[in-house]
Amino acid sequence: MQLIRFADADVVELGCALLSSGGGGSPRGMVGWLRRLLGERGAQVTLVEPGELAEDVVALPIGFIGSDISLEEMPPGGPELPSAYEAISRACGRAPQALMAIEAGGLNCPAAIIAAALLDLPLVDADLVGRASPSIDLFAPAVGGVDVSPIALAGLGGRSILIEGHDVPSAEASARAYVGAVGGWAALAVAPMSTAVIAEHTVVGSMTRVLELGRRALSLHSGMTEEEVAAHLGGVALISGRVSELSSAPDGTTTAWIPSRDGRIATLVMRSEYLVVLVDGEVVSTTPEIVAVLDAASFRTVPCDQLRPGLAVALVALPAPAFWLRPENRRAMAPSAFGLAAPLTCALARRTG
Amino acid sequence: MNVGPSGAVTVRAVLQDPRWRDRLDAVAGEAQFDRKLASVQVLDSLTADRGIEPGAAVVLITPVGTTDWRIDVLVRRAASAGAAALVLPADASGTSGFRQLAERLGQPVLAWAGPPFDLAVDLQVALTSPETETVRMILAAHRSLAGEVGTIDDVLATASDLVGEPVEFTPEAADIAMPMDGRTIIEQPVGRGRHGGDARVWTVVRDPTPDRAAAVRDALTVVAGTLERVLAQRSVEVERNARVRSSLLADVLESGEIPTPELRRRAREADWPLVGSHTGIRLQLLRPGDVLRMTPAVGSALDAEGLAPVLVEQDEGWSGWLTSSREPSVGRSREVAAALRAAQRRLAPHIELAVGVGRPQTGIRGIAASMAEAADAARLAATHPERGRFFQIDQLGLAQLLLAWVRTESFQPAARTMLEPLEAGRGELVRTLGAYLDSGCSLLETAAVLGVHRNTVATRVERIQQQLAVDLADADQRLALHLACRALHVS
Repeated sequence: MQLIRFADADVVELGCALLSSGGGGSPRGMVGWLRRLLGERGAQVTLVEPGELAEDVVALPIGFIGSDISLEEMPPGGPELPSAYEAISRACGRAPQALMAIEAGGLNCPAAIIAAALLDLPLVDADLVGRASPSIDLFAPAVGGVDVSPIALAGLGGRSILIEGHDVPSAEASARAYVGAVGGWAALAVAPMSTAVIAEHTVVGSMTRVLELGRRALSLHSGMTEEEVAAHLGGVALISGRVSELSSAPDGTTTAWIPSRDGRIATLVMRSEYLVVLVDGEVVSTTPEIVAVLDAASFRTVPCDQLRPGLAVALVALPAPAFWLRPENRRAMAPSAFGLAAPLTCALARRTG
Repeated sequence: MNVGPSGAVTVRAVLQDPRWRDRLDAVAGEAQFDRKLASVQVLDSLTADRGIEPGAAVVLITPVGTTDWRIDVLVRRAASAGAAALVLPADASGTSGFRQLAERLGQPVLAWAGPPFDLAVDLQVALTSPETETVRMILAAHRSLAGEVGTIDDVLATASDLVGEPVEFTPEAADIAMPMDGRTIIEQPVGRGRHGGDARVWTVVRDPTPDRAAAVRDALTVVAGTLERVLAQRSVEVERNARVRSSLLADVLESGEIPTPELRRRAREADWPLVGSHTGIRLQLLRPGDVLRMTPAVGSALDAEGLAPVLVEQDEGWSGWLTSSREPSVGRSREVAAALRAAQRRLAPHIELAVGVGRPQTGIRGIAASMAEAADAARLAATHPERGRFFQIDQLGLAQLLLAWVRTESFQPAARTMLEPLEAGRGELVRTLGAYLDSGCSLLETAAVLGVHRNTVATRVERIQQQLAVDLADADQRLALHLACRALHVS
């Protein structure tokens, strides 16, 4: 068990950005809200390991769905997360005793901490993807065949709806439709999980990983080489260079070409997250491995939507969540799941044999 | 020359081949364009699993978006396998991303704007059955050049379409420019005629494969044959038309040192050589006759002796020239003279000729000069039956030419006037003067020649001096009297 306090806000911001693999939405606004909550009230959130939970406890995965731009333009007023929580409580006939992050990468990481602070509940050290994810059907429990419904959505102001009895794809479609109708974002809560389900069908230890990565990122300094930075973060440097070209394809993928100083040329393929890295036409790293694109000067994470020609960047591969490397789960997060015909490749596995 | 080793088709050769070069563009990897194609592989998708073979021309036949990252993978696969070239549909050439990678990996990449499958098929045929192209070109050559073909320019235009490069004809050896880097000159000789094999038809081809070079050579053989036919026809037409010949000869004789392209073309069509060492010939009828009617006989007689000079009816006879590429040796000159004499003898009973031959001279001005000498020589020859009425100008001949000039009608009256005072008697004074001067003023020799006493000669010489009021000790007066005697000398 650990406590998450006001002082940890920076750590959370850096850590969840690194784990996001370029997606997940900018956490800046959400972390700002977190700082206000933890700072003003002097509040703290308790982070508990799944093993520390009593057997009958269920934890509710909670966060937001929609675009980070809408969240910034039209921020939540406050009642949305609690409203989603209450909607699930009513639907399930019991109030979950703990909360869980939906995504450890991106804005849903601080969002879960915020929910824990608002509802004064402990946060379980786990999430549903171990990184950032674009859709419900890629959540770990859904992949494992666990029923994720009912799903509660609460728009600005707190009015909520419940989605029940749908299969995952239509639940996703309904959720998106609702989100579009209420202004571009909504608080999201999915079916609460028992400790047994948590152990089997979530990515355990995600929050700890966020905090650890964030602390490491804080101690980076400008004199370090890319290799040193990568090693410090527990990953491996892939290539450094200046983005020469960025191009979007009709199928929704965007490709960036990054020639490096030593003459090698990297090709980076993304949708809402960085998905495939090639060097000199050879695949070196793919999802579920996490690709962190760092600004070469500040070592700050550069998300997909901020990548532009002329930017000097360093690409670092961080270890994939082990959950997605299990044989039964591999295909769910492989490049083919994102419509990319590349073989699942882990730079770290290769380097360490 | 950038032709690959025998049997090899390089990427560069494919890019230059007229069958494809309008629709094929180089995208990257130019430094490696000398790679040789060994096979053709067709890819129907960017992720086709099929292995790429070394030396393959890999042709992607599906359309592909310019930003597709899978092109990077394909470029890498091609480079790793040692493919000769990767050919992408033309719309893939926009983005520079994969182009950079291709340059870095040294992988030739081309963009093809035609129907996707066509290039693959054509390349395959070119690699496995290269003689197909040769056969196709020769058949096409025969078809288009077999029938009525018109002028030399018509033939060259058809040939140029066939070969895909401009085809030129030159009647003389010196005209073809030196080959430039990377270009090959392919040429074929045209005909024999009077040019002796120097006429050629030629074309310049960029980086041909050995098979294309062979195909072009064979096509040019057909073209050369056609040109020989055209030239022969034209030559016959010109020979039939004396007026054309006359006017052409007049233009040749009046030309400046460098003939105009127009004149060269007319001369080429008439098969009249302008370049080389020319020996002027003049055949002068002794009695007036129908020159035009006699021309075929004269031509046959010359032909029978192995001579084929240019001949044009002029005045009461024929003027023309013989050309050789180099100035004829003394032996060769004698052979020509002997052949002309033999031809003259052949014609003798029916057509009596005086024949004059000029000195060999070069260039178009040389034709005029040598022909003028031949004319003078023929005039001289006409007055010397004892020499067979044949005269060939050489160094010594120049002196005799000069003397022959004094025997012309314009000189004779003056000579007669000069010697008129000696007319009295039976002309013995004139004879004595002539003999005295011929002997170099020797009284003894003159007496011997005339069969009289020395004193008789002395007396007569004294009387000549008195009656002509001349001093025979004066060299100039002696010379003038000597010429006058010669002028009145009856042959």
